[in-house]
Amino acid sequence: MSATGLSSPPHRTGRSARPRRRTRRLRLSDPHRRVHVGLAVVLAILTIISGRLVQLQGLDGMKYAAAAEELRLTTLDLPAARGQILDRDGNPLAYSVEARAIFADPAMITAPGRTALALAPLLDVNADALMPLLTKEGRFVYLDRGLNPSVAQAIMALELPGIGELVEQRREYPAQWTAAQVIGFVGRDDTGLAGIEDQFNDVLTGTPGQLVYEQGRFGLPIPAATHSLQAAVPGSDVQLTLDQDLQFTLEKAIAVANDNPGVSTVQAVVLDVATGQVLAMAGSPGYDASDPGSVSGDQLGNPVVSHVIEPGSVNKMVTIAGALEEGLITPDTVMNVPDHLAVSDIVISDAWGHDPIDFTATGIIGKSSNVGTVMLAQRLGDARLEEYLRRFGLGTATGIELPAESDGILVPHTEWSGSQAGTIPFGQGISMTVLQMASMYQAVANDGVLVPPRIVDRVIGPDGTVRDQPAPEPRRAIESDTAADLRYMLESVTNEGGTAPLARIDGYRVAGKTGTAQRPNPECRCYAGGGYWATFAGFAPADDPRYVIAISIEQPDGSGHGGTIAAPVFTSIMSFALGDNGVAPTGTPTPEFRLTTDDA
Amino acid sequence: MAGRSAEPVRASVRHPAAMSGQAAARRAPFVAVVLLIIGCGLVALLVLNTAIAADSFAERSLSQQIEQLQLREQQLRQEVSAAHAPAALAQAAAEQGMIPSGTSAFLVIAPDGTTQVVGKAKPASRQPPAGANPPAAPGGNG
Repeated sequence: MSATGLSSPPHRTGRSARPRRRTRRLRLSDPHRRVHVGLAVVLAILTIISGRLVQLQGLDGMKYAAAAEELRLTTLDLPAARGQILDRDGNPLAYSVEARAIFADPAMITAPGRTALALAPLLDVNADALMPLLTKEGRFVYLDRGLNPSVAQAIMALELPGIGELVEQRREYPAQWTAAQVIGFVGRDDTGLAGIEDQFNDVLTGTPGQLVYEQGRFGLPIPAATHSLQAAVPGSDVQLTLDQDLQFTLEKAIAVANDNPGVSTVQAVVLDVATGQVLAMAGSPGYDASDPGSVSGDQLGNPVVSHVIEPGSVNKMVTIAGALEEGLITPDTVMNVPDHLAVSDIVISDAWGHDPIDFTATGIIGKSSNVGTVMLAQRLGDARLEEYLRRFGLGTATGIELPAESDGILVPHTEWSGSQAGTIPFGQGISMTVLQMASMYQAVANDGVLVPPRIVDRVIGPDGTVRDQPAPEPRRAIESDTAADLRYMLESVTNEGGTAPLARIDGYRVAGKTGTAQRPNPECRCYAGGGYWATFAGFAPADDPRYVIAISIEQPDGSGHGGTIAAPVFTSIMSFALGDNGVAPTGTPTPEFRLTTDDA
Repeated sequence: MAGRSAEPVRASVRHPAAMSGQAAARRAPFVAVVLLIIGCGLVALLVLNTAIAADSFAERSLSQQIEQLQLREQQLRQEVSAAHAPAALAQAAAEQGMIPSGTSAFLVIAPDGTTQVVGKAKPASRQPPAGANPPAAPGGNG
């Protein structure tokens, strides 16, 4: 057709000679029509194309752009560092470090045997132990967690298929055993499970951040593309009132005492007299905070605040305090004390047999006479005795910032049995924590003002802002004069004729009180065969007290006395506390103590 | 005039070619400038892109370096705090043959310059009452 069309102009002159041809040629060679048709076709195609274009760009455009961005966008979770737990001098007791978890996608692993052999030396496990993990069903399994980043780097350098790493935090307890019961520990998810880690979990936990960026072919961020960074906010630090060195010394001392025959556990606490702050506290045996799983669950608590004991003669101090404050006695009041006394349905007797002795009130404390104490308690009366016990904080938790604190057990005097009325004055039939025991003596040492013990000094925010913990409300337990008389009387305990010469520290004046309490036998719910608690509570220097220490030694199968086994623990902790903190002896002469009328 | 008038007619016939030749000659500098600008722009863009890309590589390698150094710092801090722990110090001291001291004496200096020894200094005993136990001793007693 086109050939015909092209050849038509030269034949114009012979039109009439070939009418049929001319007709056919005219029909076929109408350029307008062809142009129109062509145009229509082109327009139709263009319409389809532009329609599709509008559809893709205009209507679905957002969707495709979003999908493309989705491919490029990478979201990186930025873990927030957990706050540190510090001792009073700023030494870290717990802090977090960046660590790695190594995981496997078993479906991706083609040669589990070879993979296990390659990983075993780096993960420090047996290759056989890895095999079940590597051949497990599913797409994700942790091989190890809390690894040092350098180890993870070495593993990733092997480029094993199906092995990957994740960034996580690991909690470090550099002091291990030291203060573990106070600090507590965290679970795998970095949540506090015990101690300060638990109590201050919200404060210690930070807010995780997020980094969103567009990624190019090689995982590099595309410059000048979408990029948003929400920085992680680390948790706050918690600074305790503990003294790391004193804490260590205390733990060593109680571990040594725990070696005495028949001893099951030893608890001790050191308080600062003026502030009521806890400087050290622990119960043996304790545990390693970096490996809490290695001991049984009932060992993970803090027995100093949650375990109650019967204090024994340490409690006599309260009876004497009441009698002094009510003006019933002075330190030199003389009483004729027999060695036994019938009270209700029981007979109270002294620890040693003796003919009636003319004891001074000081002698009753110094020699720890049960009978003398009960005689004073009878003059004081049950109601006033209970009042003084409560004034010294017994029967109520101290409110220290630690979980699972016990109230102790102090039954209202109206419910006391006859025998309880006879035994509570010398510390049987009443229960308290070792912390409460220390707190009682803190009041005596602090001129009669009880400052409830606290263990958290302050919280330091991630930006360095310091929030001091609210100071506890001090309250007067006894008058200043009464406290002074008590300090004098308690000093007699560690001096000639007293029950605790072993609590003496060379050069210093020491005051305190021993206790040896019968321990109930859990099998018969009676005292027979239950063993003893040996206790001691005291402070030094006696005339300008700085530290209070309370000790309890639980002996299901032993019979050590407060003066023989608890007092030496006091001495070793107290002498360190005084020496390490530069507390010089006061240099004042020790007064003469008149225990009986026979003394000059 | 007739000859002259014939010229424009011929010129008008050849108009497009004649005009384009002259105009092209006149526009050449402009085109060159535009081309130059476009060329420069392209080159600048290329250079800029390359520079940004190079920077992002450099940034990445520097961030990696920072990360490495931070990990190193973290490790060193860990070592320091572990060695600083009381148990580790006690053990290190014991290895050096040191013994925990008992009670210490104090030298008190009065305002007038006179000194007085307070307390009794005792030589440390070879068998310290509580000091010799290794840090893990509490667990051993379990």
